[in-house]
Amino acid sequence: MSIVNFLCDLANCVPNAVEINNLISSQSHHVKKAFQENNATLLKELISNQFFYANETKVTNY
Amino acid sequence: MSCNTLVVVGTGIKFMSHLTTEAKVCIEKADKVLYLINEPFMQEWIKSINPSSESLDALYTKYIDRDDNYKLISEFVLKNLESTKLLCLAIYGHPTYLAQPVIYSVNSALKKGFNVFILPGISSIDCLFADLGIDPGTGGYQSFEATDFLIYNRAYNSSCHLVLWQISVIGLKKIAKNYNPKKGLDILTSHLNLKYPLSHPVFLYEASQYPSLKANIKKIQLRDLSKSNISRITTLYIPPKQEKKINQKILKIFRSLNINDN
Repeated sequence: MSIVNFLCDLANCVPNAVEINNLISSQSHHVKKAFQENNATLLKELISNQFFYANETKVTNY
Repeated sequence: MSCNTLVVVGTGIKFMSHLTTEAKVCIEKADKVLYLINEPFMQEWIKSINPSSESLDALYTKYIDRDDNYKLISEFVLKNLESTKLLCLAIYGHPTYLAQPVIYSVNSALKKGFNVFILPGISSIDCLFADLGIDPGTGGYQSFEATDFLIYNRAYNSSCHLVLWQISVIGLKKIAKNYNPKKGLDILTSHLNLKYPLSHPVFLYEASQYPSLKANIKKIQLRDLSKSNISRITTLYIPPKQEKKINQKILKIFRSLNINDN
């Protein structure tokens, strides 16, 4: 399962649902680590090394 | 030509969770999607759901001056709109919140007689209110882009909730690599210290971008602002300093009108 599909599945869970842990447990070590550490940056790095923080050139919109 | 339609959608902050039904439908069904998304998974999802989609990232960083890039994006959107029946412009967060390329594009499209729809998205201010448990209706709420706040010496009321955006790029008009925010944060601290004590609590806030991840919230004192670790998506929230003061004159009038019986 791709990370994108995994995140889509997570988005379909209510907060604190039991299946969230199961979904995360089924992922790779790095993905699990990202969630254990609440580390969004690590999660992004898994799909792209070129997201905007990396080159520090882009200001987000809100 | 003029019956072509531009639909601008916000994709929200948290991946997929914040995507509204109407935004999703537009992304799926548009003849073409142009997107400016600062999050790689949402980019991937848009590309997978609509193969006609095209990133605007390269235009966003083409010139050093940000405003030049915004105008370039607007021109590109217009060019595509001329040959596309239903064009969707997808933007991270809320599509008109700190999103000048959208404003330029919408105004140009309207001027040329195209149909334009803007569909709201969840912005980080919505997340901030939820995560910090703030009701902006009590006490009032003000927000400013941080550089604008300083340069124009914006008037604000320290008894209101105050939110300052883009504190990592204070004073930075142009695109720059490895910009050190410390100097700008020092200036901001001094400015805020005119109304708030240095011991006043402030919050560094970053909304959660992924389901099941938590928002990053750090409570510090104002004096520690420039020593703190600030990312490009950090927002500064300053809680009210003082109690609201009742305008007795107005209250008296209301009472005389029986508007307020208390």
